[in-house]
Amino acid sequence: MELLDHLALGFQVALTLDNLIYCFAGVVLGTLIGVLPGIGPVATISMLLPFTFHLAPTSALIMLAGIYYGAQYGGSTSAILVNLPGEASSVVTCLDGYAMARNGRAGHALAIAAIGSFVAGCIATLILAAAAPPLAELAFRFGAAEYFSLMVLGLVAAVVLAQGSLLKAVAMIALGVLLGLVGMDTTTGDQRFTFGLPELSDGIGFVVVAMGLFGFAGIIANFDAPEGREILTRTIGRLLPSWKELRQASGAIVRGTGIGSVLGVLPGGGAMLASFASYMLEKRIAKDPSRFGKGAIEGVAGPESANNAGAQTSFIPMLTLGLPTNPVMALMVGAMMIQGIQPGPQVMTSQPELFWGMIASMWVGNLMLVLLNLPLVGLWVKLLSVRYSILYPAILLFSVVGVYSLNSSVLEVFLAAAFGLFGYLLLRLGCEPAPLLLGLVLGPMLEDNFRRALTIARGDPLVFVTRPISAGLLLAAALLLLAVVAPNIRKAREQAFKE
Amino acid sequence: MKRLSRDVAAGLLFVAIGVAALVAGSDYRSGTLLNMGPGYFPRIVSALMIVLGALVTLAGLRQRTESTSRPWPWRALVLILGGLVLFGLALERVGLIVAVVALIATSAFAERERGILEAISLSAVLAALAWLVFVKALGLPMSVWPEGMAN
Repeated sequence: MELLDHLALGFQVALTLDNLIYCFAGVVLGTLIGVLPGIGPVATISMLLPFTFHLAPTSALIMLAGIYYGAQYGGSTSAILVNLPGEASSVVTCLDGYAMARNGRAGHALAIAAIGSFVAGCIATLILAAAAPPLAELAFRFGAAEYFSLMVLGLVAAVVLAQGSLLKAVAMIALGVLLGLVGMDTTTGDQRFTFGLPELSDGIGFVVVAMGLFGFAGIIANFDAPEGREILTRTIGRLLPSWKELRQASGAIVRGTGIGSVLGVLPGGGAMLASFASYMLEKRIAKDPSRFGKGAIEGVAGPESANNAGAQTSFIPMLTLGLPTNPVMALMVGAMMIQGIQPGPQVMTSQPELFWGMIASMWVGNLMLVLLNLPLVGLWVKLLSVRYSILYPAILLFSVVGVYSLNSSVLEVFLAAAFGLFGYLLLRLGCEPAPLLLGLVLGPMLEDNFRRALTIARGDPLVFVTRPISAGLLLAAALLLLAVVAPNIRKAREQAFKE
Repeated sequence: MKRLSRDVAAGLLFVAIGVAALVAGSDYRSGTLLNMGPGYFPRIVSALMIVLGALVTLAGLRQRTESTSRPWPWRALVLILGGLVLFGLALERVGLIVAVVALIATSAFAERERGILEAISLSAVLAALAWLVFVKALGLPMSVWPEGMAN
């Protein structure tokens, strides 16, 4: 079995002492910061990313992946105990998780979230390992035209499935692409939009942008919507759920894993959409839907499994096609490029240790999370009681030093502050920053493939529609856009996000 | 009171950015489809930006929203961004410790109910933490104290 060989290789890499330590550090840091309300995974990863640059590429990516699902996990803890989602994908966990906590079953909710996440993580890792090679094989047949069309489809799908106004989201992508053009033109060597600043000739760093838009702007936004927090510290109760509860939850875990695995692969979907979809499904098929919102264990088990499965499978397009489908994956692509690895189908064959080691480490990391979190839940609860007014200066400090340490550049500190201001302005105007980050990362690749496709086709712009795969991808993108613009589907989409 | 949707402002912002990019990039050679210059793709994206911005504006003009204007958090905006800028100005001139104190002592007061004593202790603790983590543990290359004060 080729799959087993691959996984064996992966575990060989993931189980070395170094990588175990980095994986552990990643999940601990991720959980730690994910538990703290107000900082999501994007801000967490961009804050910690600069500190992984001096590691070997495999270790760095293992640690970053650990931070990602650790943050995801920590987010559910704060959702259950404080009714404050640490990140968007835990929003639905608040509904029944917090209700369970108020009924004195916080321990059960935390345990079932952990078990569900672990099961989902294991299955999704297997799916990832099985799906990656054939997808990469397919991607090898892609030329520049196909890649261009694939990215267009990816970006369109990302905005269609994401929340909020479609037009504004597309405009945000365009803005990201525009920002991605800053720096030296790789084909001709000309400087573009650098305004004579030599620091800009390598382009605007995506960490700088992410830090400003997600980190600093988020902190400022917290000051215009002060919210009260009620922390349920004394009522965690017994951790291990009863058999009856486990049986109740098991179906939801399996269904959540399925939904999450599928939706995670889709651009823009990822963990958030997966948890919403799973919650709606569980509510619909329940014998007594009225239990939901009042502490139904399926309402925790399903979404938590789904968001973890989705987080895992969203690595599939990133690792096999080099296509980031959500902002976290955009950061991962950026991290790979800083490590000197061009993401794409060739990573699997040219760097099998990195590829399979990272996949195996996800399984290891998920196991660590369960072992780490259930006994230590008391510690995370203590963290929750830290006041935000103490927290945000520390976040600012770590973020700003992280930004500076990228290139020892003060200019990047100023730029990040400027993006903080700009990001807050965009939030006030109701523009989601996530598509901008996707555009920023994909922009240079988009331009490069656009140019190469046209050069190969001797300047014939029809190349994008005469090559069948490329035409199919563009057609899919057009249909998706059309589907959203059509009124009845739009209504359903709005409804879905309202629930 | 009914007022213009915030989409109008968002759309106009997009148009302005698109126009600015066109102007800033007006010197870049376009080239041909076969042999694209540095200006070809930026022009497409800038034009797209302007079109999208115009569409967002038009869509925004068609709807009116209830007045929901929240006050701007000026205090947080000025003190947090100001703290970051002070940090950037100080770091390479007078070292990490002073820069951290400048950042924290400024941004701490974004919180209205902050006492002076708390701000001082927070600055001191975080400056010590920064030195421990970034200089001692991670070994990031940065000067710690103002020149002349170092041993």
